[in-house]
Amino acid sequence: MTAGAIISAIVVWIILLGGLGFCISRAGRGSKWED
Amino acid sequence: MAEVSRERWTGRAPFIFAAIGSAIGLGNVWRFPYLTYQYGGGAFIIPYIIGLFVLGIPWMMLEFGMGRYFQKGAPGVFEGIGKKWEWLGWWPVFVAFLIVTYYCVVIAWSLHYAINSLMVTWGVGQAGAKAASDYFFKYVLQLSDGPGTLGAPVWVITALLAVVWIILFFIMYRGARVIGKVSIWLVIAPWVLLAVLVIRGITLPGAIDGLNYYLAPSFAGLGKIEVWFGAFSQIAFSLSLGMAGMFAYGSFVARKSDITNNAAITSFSDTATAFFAGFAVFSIVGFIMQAMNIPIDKVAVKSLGLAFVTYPAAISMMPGGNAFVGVLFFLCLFFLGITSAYFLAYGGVIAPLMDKFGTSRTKTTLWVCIVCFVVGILYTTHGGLYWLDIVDRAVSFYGLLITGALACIIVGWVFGAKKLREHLNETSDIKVGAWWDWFIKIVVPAGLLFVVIYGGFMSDLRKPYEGYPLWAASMIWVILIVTLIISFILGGIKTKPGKGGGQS
Repeated sequence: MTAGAIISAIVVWIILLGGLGFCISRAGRGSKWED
Repeated sequence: MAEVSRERWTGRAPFIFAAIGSAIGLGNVWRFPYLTYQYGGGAFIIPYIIGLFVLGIPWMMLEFGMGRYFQKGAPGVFEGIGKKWEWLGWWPVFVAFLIVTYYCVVIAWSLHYAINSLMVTWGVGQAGAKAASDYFFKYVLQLSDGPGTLGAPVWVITALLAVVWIILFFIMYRGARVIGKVSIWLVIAPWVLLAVLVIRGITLPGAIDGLNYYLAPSFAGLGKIEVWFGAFSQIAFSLSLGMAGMFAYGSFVARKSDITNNAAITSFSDTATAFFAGFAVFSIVGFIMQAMNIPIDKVAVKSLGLAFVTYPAAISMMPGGNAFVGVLFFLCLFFLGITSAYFLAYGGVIAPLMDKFGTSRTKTTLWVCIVCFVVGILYTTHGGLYWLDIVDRAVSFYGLLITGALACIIVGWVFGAKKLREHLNETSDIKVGAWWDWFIKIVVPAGLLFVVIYGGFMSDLRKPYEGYPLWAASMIWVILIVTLIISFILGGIKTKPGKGGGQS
C-alpha cells in the first residue's frame, strides 16, 4: 500500500473512532433512561 | 406536555442499535466506498464529516427530538404543530412505504444469492466470473428490454420476498420492545461478518491495489461542487432521515433520556460501518482486477453491479473457501437490509397508521406486510428492475430530500427551533448551542435543496431520467404528485384521540 493510503486510513479511523469514543464517554452525563 | 403512555425502548442500547440498524444499510456497502474512491479517497472524509455536522446530525436531532416531544410518529408531530401541516407528516410515510416495497426485493435477491453461493451456481473460475453478469440479469431477474415490458413475476424471487415479509412481521408485531432487542443482534451480526470479509479480502492477491484506489488521498477535488454533492447526498440517504421512521423511533424514547448524543453516536457508527465496508469491497475489487487482468474502470464498483455482479465474479475466482465467503457476504447484505426494512415499515408506516386510526399493532402490522408484499411483486417481474430504479428516484431521492427540507423549515420557523433546542438540552448529554437553530432554519434545508437541484432537477428536467422513455421517466413526477395529494387527504381526516400509536 502507498504511504498516502496508509496515512489516510489511519487519520480517518482516528476521526471516526475518536468521535464515537467522545460521544460514548459523554453518555449518561445529562440523561436518564426512564420516564 | 402531559405525560403520555407510549411503547418504549427497553433501554438506551436497544434504541441506539435500532437507530444504527436503520441507518446502516445496503448503501454503506455499495455507495459510500464508491464515492470515497471517486471523490478523493481518504480526503473525501473532510466534506463528509463537515456534512455530517452541518446537515446529518442536526437533522437527526430534529427528527428524534420532535418525535419525543409529541410522542407520535411523523404525521402526529406535524398535526401537533398545526392541523394544516399534518400532510407534511404523511408525505414521508409514503416515501417509507414505497422504499420498503422495493428494498425488500433487494433483500430477497440477497437471500437468493446467499443460498446459491453454497454451490456457486453461476460457475467457478474465469468462466463463472464472466457468467456472473448474465446470471444476475438473465437468470435471476430475467430482465426484459424496458419498463414497458413487465412480464410475469419471477416466482423464486416472489417466494423469497414472501419469506422476507414473514420474517419482518414476526420482528415487528410486538413493537419497539422486540425491535430494540432484535436490533442489537442484527447490527452486531453484519459487523462480525464484515470483519471476516475484510480479513479474507485483504489476504487475496491484488487486494492492496484495490485499497490504494479506495484510500489514496487527493485534495485537488475538494474545491469541486460534485464532491460536496456526493458527500451531502450520501449523508442524506444513509442516515435514514426524511423517511418518517426516525420521528417514531424518537417517540419511543423515554422523556428524560438523551437525544443529541444518541444522534451523534448513530451518525458516527453509520459512517464507521461504511468506511469499514469499503475495505471489504475494494480488496475484492483489487483482487478481481488482478485475477481478470482488467483496469478498475471495467469493474462495477457501485450499486447492484458491485453486489450482484462483481462480488459473485470474485467469488468464482477465489482460490479457496469461495462458497463460504459468498454466503457470508450475502448474509451480511441480508442483515444490513432487514434492519432498515423494519425501520421503514414499523417506524415509517405502521406507527403513524396506529397513531392516526387507533388500530391494533398486530392487525396494522399484518396488513402493512401484506400490502407491501403485493406492491413489491411489481419489482419481481421481468421489468421490475426498471421500475425499482424509477420509483427509487422518485421517493428515495426527490421525496426524501424535499420532505426533509420542508420538515426542517416548518419545525425551524413555525414550531420554533429554539423551543425544540431547549427541549433537547433539558435531558441530553451534549447541549447544543444557538447555532443549531440556524442550521435547522437555513443550513440543512439549503443543503438538501442543493442536492435536489444539482443532482436532480438540473439533469432530469433536461432529459428523461437514465434514458428511459418519457412516459416512464414521467412517472417520477406522477408518484410525487399523487403521494402529495393523498397526504393532503389523510391530513384532513380527523385523528382518533387517545388510541393506537403504540399507546399502551
